[in-house]
Amino acid sequence: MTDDDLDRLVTGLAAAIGLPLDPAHRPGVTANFRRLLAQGDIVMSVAVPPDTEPAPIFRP
Amino acid sequence: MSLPEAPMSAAAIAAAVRGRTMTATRVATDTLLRIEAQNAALNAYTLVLAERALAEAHAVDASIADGSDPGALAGVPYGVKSLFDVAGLCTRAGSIINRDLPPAQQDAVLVRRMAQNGAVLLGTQTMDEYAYGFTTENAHDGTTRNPQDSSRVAGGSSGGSAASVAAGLGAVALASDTNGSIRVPASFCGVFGLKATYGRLPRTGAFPFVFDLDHVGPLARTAEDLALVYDALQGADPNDPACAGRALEPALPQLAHTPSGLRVGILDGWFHDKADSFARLAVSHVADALGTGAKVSLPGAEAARASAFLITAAQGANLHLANLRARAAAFDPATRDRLLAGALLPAAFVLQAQRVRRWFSEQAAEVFRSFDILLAPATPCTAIRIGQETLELDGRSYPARASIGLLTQPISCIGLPVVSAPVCLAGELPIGVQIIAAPWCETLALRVAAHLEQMGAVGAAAVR
Repeated sequence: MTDDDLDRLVTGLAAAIGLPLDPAHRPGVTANFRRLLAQGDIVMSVAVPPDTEPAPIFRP
Repeated sequence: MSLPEAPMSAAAIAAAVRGRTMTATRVATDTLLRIEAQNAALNAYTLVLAERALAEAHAVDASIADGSDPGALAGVPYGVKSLFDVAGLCTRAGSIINRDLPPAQQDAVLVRRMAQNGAVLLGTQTMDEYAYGFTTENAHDGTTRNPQDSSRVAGGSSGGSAASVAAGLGAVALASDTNGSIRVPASFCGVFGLKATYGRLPRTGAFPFVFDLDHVGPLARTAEDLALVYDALQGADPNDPACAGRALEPALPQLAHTPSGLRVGILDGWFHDKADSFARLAVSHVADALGTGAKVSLPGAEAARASAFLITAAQGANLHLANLRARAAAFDPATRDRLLAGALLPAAFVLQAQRVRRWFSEQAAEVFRSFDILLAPATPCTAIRIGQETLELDGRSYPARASIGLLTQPISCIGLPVVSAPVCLAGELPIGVQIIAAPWCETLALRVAAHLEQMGAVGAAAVR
């Protein structure tokens, strides 16, 4: 994803949840969002079986 | 009788106070003096509660004078991370924003349990804002310095708590661990830390961060003290919906039972690759003492860490969304940008992360069929320098603050009990080794830590 794509995505998502973003905060937010997307790619790559259910209260 | 130069253990203080060879008031007074002398340099405490400490200490002494037993922690001085409710104070959790909250009506459940056992609260301690960090470099409260090397961080987010214990500004401390916030500062400061099984210790009255991952627990200079405090803290609480309601399982009576026939494995793969050579050496040192060299793979550790990272960002952001909308500039800049980004996460990632977490717990359960204890470094390296931006691991450069928890996050992600035990080799900074047990087997991890300490393989760094 290019920097411009990422910037548009951050703008759109923030607008969708009514979250104002101060221009001074944007570079940090965008850098952190890029880091989160990379982590998202990692979890999405796991082939979780369909019966793997997240428990409402996690009991290890 | 005055306190000796080297601070006493909690167990020794309680024995001396209960045995009337020392008063709780004297212990509290001397520890407060130590805080007064050293806190300006360390920045471990945000607020010192001298009046309350002396009142609690007087009550312990009065109880003993009456022939009553004030409890297993009689006169033990301790501090709490500033996210625990203390009656009459607003629970700041390292923030400016929380200073607008009304004062807590009562102490957090764990603080009450400490008091019920005769412990003496000294004050509240420095942390990363809202527990979202691994370095305790707080824009509002300042940086906590590492007692072993003041140019380095104490770790976080419970940096003030670990530094206080390492410097003898309290015998023990209460802290929280969502992604490593007990184990990381324990590692950097050279003390013991316990993150019990998720759901074991009630979090009621501790300001939340990530409901699905938040744990609370103790830091101490000995394994015995860790067990002593852990036993005092155990017990269900109906006001913590995640508290599992387990029966009490006292660890201290089991501590002297040397573990034998244990199947101990060294976690390989992710836990090897994301550690530097010294962190690996520390694990080998502990494994050698336990007579094992068995390597074990825990599949999915990277995905588990990613799950913890995503769930943390999303739940933390949701918790603070109203303030992020209304006054984002009032947050610590480091925390703010992470939380704002977390608020934007697509649901698909977060939901998948929760299912990966369940899947990974099944991978761990499979490993525990063949092993009783797993070993891994608590941190990828020893304490980093204040302001350090990157870590070099596995031939790559990583953002330092986000990566200090690479080895703790997969473990807390699935709620496993862990003791972080300090390895202090001559001329080196300390580093922690995670002694990881199966769910609800805290006692075994504590027994292994105590055994290693007795052998001299682990032990707290000398108080400076």
